[in-house]
Amino acid sequence: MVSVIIIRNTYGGDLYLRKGCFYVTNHLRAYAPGGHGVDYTDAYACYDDMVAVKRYYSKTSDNPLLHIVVSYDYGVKDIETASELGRRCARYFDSRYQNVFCTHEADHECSFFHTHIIVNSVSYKDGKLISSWYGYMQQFCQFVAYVTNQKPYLTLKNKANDFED
Amino acid sequence: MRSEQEKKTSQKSVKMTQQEAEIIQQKANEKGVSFGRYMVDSAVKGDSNGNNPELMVEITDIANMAVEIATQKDRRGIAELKRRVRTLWSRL
Repeated sequence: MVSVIIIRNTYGGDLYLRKGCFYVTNHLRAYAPGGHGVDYTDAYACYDDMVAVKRYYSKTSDNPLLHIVVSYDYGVKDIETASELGRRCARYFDSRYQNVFCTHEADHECSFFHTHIIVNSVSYKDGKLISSWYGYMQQFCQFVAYVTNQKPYLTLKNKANDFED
Repeated sequence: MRSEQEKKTSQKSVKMTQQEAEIIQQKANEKGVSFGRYMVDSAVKGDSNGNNPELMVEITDIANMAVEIATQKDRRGIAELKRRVRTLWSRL
């Protein structure tokens, strides 16, 4: 079973986006960081790239980002496989949203590895805000199931996350 | 909650010919935006040196690819490559 956690912090603001970018690009912990439409090798540049899109569409004060954590079950035994799965899961958002991701090694209830995906809430295509409603996230879960070949379990969290595992 | 500066509180009424309206509507449909949004974006962002987020995303991805290749073999030129991308972003 693959766990998909969607964390929504509508009022996190600028600081929440900054923390997210720093957390995912932290070279001390992040394995195989990657991204779409952002400089994922530099936390400051990653943040600037996302904010630039928000400013272009005059949507700097809306929900800053969508934070997704994909935790693979014990069947995924090495971080290389986990990071490749995470990279493919993040591709789901590429057609409309900038995103940055990395994989961590951490022993959770049912997994050795998990991938963090930070998605800019404002689309670079047309400025529309990303939807985190249940139906849309279920579609993402089905994509994750296709990529990982594991049954997905979706959890939606509305409280703030300080990017600690 | 959206800031006061970003709230769309200003409203204008404009006149145009039927043909002009059809042209604008067609262009708006091609971009997937409303009639009014297309007009505002064209006027406000029309002179942005051709830069737009889609172009910047594409360029950034190309730069990321170049960095990945370069870090595997030869680190020379990486700094300049990244500087050029940052300059493009500042023009958005």
